[in-house]
Order: sequence, then C-alpha cells, then structure tokens
Amino acid sequence: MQTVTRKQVTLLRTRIKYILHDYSRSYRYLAPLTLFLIVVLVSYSSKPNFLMDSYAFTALLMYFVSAWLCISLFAAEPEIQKQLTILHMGNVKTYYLAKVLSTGIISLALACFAVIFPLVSGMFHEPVTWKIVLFVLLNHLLFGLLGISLAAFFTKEFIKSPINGFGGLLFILIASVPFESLYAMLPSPVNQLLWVLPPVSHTISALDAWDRQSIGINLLLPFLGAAAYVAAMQIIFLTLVKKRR
Amino acid sequence: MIISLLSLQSVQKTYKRKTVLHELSLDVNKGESIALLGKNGSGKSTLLKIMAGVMPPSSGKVTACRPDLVIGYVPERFPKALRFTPEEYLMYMGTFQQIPKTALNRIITDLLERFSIKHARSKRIETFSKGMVQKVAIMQALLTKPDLLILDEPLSGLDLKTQHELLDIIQDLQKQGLTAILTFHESDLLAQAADRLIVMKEGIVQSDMLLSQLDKPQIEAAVTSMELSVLQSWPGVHRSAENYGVVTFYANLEDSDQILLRILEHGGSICSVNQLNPIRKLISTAYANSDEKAGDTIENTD
Repeated sequence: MQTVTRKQVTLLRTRIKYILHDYSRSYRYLAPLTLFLIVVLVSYSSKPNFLMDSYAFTALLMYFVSAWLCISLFAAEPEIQKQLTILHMGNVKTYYLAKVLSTGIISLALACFAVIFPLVSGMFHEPVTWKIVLFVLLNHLLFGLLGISLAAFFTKEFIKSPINGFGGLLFILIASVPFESLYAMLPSPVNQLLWVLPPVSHTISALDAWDRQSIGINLLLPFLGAAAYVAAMQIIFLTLVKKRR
Repeated sequence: MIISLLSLQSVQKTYKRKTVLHELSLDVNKGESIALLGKNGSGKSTLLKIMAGVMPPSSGKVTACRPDLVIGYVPERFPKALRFTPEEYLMYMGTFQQIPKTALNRIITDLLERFSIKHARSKRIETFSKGMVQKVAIMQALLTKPDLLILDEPLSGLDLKTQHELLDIIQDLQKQGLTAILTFHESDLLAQAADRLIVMKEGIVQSDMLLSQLDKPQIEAAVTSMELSVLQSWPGVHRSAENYGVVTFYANLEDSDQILLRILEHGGSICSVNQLNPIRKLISTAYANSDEKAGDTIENTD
C-alpha cells in the first residue's frame, strides 16, 4: 500500500514537472509575472509602509495574478498535445489535478516573494513576528488558490472563446472584492447570489481587524471558509471537467 | 483462427445534436492492416478517436479482447510546436505510462535509431520538418509496444521520400504482427499498407472488403494491324474483341509491358492504353463524394 502511494506521488511529481517544463518554455507567464513584480515593487517604492494594508493589497494582487496564470497555464498545451498527454497519463482527473497544482506551485513562489521581499528590504515601521509572517504567507497562498479555483472554470475546457473566458473571469474577480457594498446595494433575494462568489472581502476584513497577537475564531473562520471554498470548487471542477471530455 | 482485438457495437457519436457516427459496428482482427477511406466529415477521425480512447462514444460499446490491450494512437495533426526535444517528450510520455526508466531509455534509443532521428535527439521538435514531427508522432505511439496502432492520416502532407520511409516502418511493424488501422488518401501506397479496406460515408460503413477481393490492376488497350486470333492466343490477354479493324483487349498490369512490346514486334500499332486500377477507382469514388457533399461536412470532427 505504501509502495503504491509513493509511486503515485512520484508520478504526480513527474506530471507537474512536465506541465511546468512545457509552460516555462511557452513564455506565457511573462505578462502576469511582470505585472506582479512591477506592482509589488512600485507599491513598496517608498517607506515606511503599513504592515497589514500592504499585505492585504499584495494578497489581493495574488488573487488576480494567480487567476491570470491559471488561464495561461491551462492554455499552454495545444488541444491535440493535451489529448495525447491525457491518453498517456490514462486519467483526465489526474491531468487537471496536476495542472491546478502546477499553478499552485507558481502561486506559492509569488506568495513567498510578496511576503519576504518587504521584510528583507525593511519596508515596515512596525515589528514583524514569525506568527505574522506565517499567517500572512498562508493568507497570500489562499488568495492565490481562490483565484486559481475560480479561473479554472473560465479556461478553454469550459468556455471556448478566450475573450468570453477572460472577460467573464475579470468580471467575477472584480465583483467579488466589494462584497459588502454590493450586498447592501442589491435587492434582498438577488443579493443572496453573491454568496457563491469567492469569499475575498471577508478574509481581507478579518485580516485588517487582526490584533496581530491572538489567532481566535473570528480570524480563523473566514480563512477556513475560504479554504473550504477552494476545496469545494476544486472537487466540482475535477468532476465537471471529466464529464466534459 | 480470427481473433478480434477490438469490437465496436452500435457505436454512435453525436456532437451538438449532429450525429457523426450512426450505430456503427466493426471488428478489428489481430494481424490486420485496415485502411479507412472516406470524405472529410465521414466520421473517420471520430471513429479512430473512439477506438483509441481519446473520446467516449455517445452510445454503443467498444470492447477490447483483453483488459490490458495496448493501443497506440497517432493523431491527424500532431502538434508541430512541441517545446520539447524528442528525447524529453518520449521520456515524459513513457514515464506517464509507468515504463521503468532503464527500459524506457532503451526503447527511446531504439526508436530514435529506427526512425533515423538520433542526430536530432536534443533539438526541439518545434524546429523539425513535417516529416520529422510525424516520426515523433509515431514514436510516441510505439513507446508502449502496442498491440493495435491507430494512425490518422500518417502520410498526409509529406514528401514522397518520407512517405515511403514511414510506410517501410509501418510495413516492418505489420510484419512483426502489429495490427494497424489507418486513414489514407494516397492510392498508390494503399496496396502496400493495407489488406482490408473500409469505406465510410456520412457516419456509416459503406463497404468493408479485403484487398484480395478486388480485381488486380489491368490495362485496356486498342491496337490496329493486329490479328485478333494471334492476340487471343497469347497468355495474359483476355476479353478481346475486334471492331472495324481495331482490336481491344484487357491484360493484367504486370503482363502489360511484355504484351505491348510483342504487339510492336508483330507490326501492330498501339492506339491507346488505359490503366484500370480498382483501388484507385475505389478511392476516387470514396473521396469524389466529398466534392458533392462538401457543404455537409461537420467542423472539428475530422
């Protein structure tokens, strides 16, 4: 049993390596990565900066850029190459799981950069504890995963036209940020639909309100909710994508 | 004894309410080389994709003779812009197939040698010529030593030299007992590549026959200054007749050179010679419909 698991892990690693290898040679990552780097560098162009405000901003940036990376990574392989890869892998779900994980790995690297860069360049005027660093890193990664989970439904697998896919994704991404004001603005039964949007604003609000000392239920709940949202979206995505192929 | 490797029973495929394959039933027998003919949109590629497991049928059953039947698939348009070297690409695909690394290295080296692209093993496929890309396409299908090889237009768009080179490889594999099914446009090469012909039209099998059932290629010739009785006495000449001094006759293509030479030696004059090739006729019939019905073709199916 243990041997089978190790074999599966090795196989998954090779699949991720293949996808990242192909994506790295496609240069499709250049635009989203350049945008990410420029925005992070510009946002820290002067100091000192407010710790949580700055991290809330870069976490939101992660949300948008990870979604873009997801769209571009999913489109990197031409359709026939994709068919052959799935045929050799023998499983549609594994193929797409490897794609999602590959985007997650890039997202993790971006999260590390967004969190560590201002620390090593001394951009904050307040002390930063390990607890904060770890929590903020998880927060950045979670935002990245939220973006990926949403973007996966706007890839060519579901929406053939790139313009419709990208436009639809951008609309949902933007709409999910001002949740509270939209909820108040829309009439009562309609505003309930907003709950299907990624829980971005709740997570940002919880982070803003954090006393930076204790990790209580008020802080954890929105994060656990976001993690559950990511997991649910991934399960739905992998189930639907298998049916569509 | 005939062993069916793959059996299709009442297979139907529908795309966006358009039925591309209609209740199609077919057996692919061990050791056969099947050429699949038909106009664009007749459902050839869809049928091959279903056989290869690239897509499931909308209804019907595809049954393999055993659960571990290995199928290799070469798609119609193998991506030209692959960003890997052949070695990298084959290594990845072989690893996905869970071939042990040592065995995989050996298989890849053998394939690179067999397909004469060892010199380009570390060059990216996107820099390759069409013929070389097609070789990689076939190589990836052979990685797992398949029992059944499915090739969708393997020779299309290649120069004559590469066509013959690939055909030689396919023939070698067939001699080793590999079962193959391929779509084809090249009538001259068909007889070398297939022993069974299936003609498809609008998603159904229009005809299914063995190549041996077809007549051999013949010539139809008209000559003058030649006695009918003399000509009739020669071996290889058949269905001869005389009309207003013109003698017409049929002969097998393989005997034709000798017979025509003999006519000239006997003082006869050759008025006309037509080659009658039943395979070419069959292919032109199968593809001629494509011009008439071009408007009926369904996009993205073939």
